[in-house]
This record gives sequence, structure tokens and C-alpha cells, in this order.
Amino acid sequence: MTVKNIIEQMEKLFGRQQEKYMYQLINEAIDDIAVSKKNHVVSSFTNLEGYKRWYELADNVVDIKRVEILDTNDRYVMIPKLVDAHKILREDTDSAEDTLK
Amino acid sequence: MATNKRTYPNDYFAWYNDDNRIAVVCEDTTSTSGERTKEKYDTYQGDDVSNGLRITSTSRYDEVDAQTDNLKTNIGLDTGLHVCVVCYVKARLFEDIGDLQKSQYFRTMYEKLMKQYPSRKSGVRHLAVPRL
Repeated sequence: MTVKNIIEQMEKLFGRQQEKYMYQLINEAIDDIAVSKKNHVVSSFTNLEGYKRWYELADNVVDIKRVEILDTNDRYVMIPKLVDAHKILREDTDSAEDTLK
Repeated sequence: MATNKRTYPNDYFAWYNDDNRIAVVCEDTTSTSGERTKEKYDTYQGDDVSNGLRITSTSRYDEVDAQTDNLKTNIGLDTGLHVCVVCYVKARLFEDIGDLQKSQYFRTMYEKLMKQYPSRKSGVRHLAVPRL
């Protein structure tokens, strides 16, 4: 189904609507579906950097399913999630030595 | 010689997250450290690895911005959910013109269809074979 199909259906019921408003409503519907069904799964790749702890997540991420590290055999291996991360004392963030103080 | 932690990543690495970031930590196996605190995990201190981290997540769909956009091929929304989009938009438009009864009807239908999807939960397909 295309966006045009939906707009035409709505025009029959409600008359002509602003195109931008229709896009907005369709996007809201799609967003609502994505958040409640959580069935749109994507993988993103990023460089693993030494002395870097935090990696920014994209805005469109709803829920993290798994995290994998490329091993020395060039295969991605799933790593566990820490359940007691609050117990880690050092919050060092990058390679700048000052931030480790 | 120390073991490369990337040989067995699931033995050494772990992750956690806050609202908009993910933290990757690595088991601290150093024993000759001058640090005052000793913790099990620390920031990874090895070499950089190109595409060394793969994050799999549920994500929002891309936005539509043209009439020619196809919900299945351009956005990736499953065909079974297209009718939900139609119900949602109808509910909102009826709400706009003040017909709350019809708006509520389409809102309920939207929620019902969302609950029912996917209708075949087992993933097993059955052939309808006629009795001879």
C-alpha cells in the first residue's frame, strides 16, 4: 500500500486534507506501531575504540536486543549485559587522561 | 603472553546502557596496576577495530514524505499492519471533526488489529487439504 492509497481513501471520507498533515498522521501511526510492536529489527555497525566507553545510540532506537563484538576470527560474538552496572566505580569516558581523575 | 580479549569476547566484554548511550566494558585482568580501586570491569584498552561493534535493536521506521512511498518496500512495514495505519489515521481525522464516537470506534479497531498481529503465532503453515 502506498501513501497515495491512504490519502485517496481519506479523501473519499473526509474530503481533501493537507498533504503535509496526512504525512504527519501516517508517520505518527508508523511510530506508534514501531514502539508498541517492536518488530522492526535493525543492526548497526560502529568501530570498537580503545579507551572509549560510551557509544551514542541513534535517535530511532527503541530497544537494544543484543550487542556483539567482532572476535579475532572475524565473527560477531554476543556479549552479556551487565545487570549491576551501577557498581562500577570509575566512569572514565575517553582517552584524555584528565577525565580519568 | 596475555590472551587477546577479543578471542573470546563473551568471556571478557559486557555492556550496559543509559537513555541514549551504550557502554562497552571489558574485564580488567591487569594485576600490576597502580590504581587505588580494583574493579572487575574497565574501559576496553586494546586496539581500535573497524566495525568491531554490532548493535542489534528494535527501531522506528523511516518517515514517509512522498505520495509514492510504499509502506512495505520503502518503509519496511509489514503488509499485515497497513490496515492499522488506515484505522489510526481515520481515528485521528474523525477526532478532528469532532465525531468522537466514530473516532473511538476506529481507535478500538486499531488496537484490536495491533493485538491480533501477527495472526499466525506458531509460524507453522497448514495446507487445507480437501477430504476425499
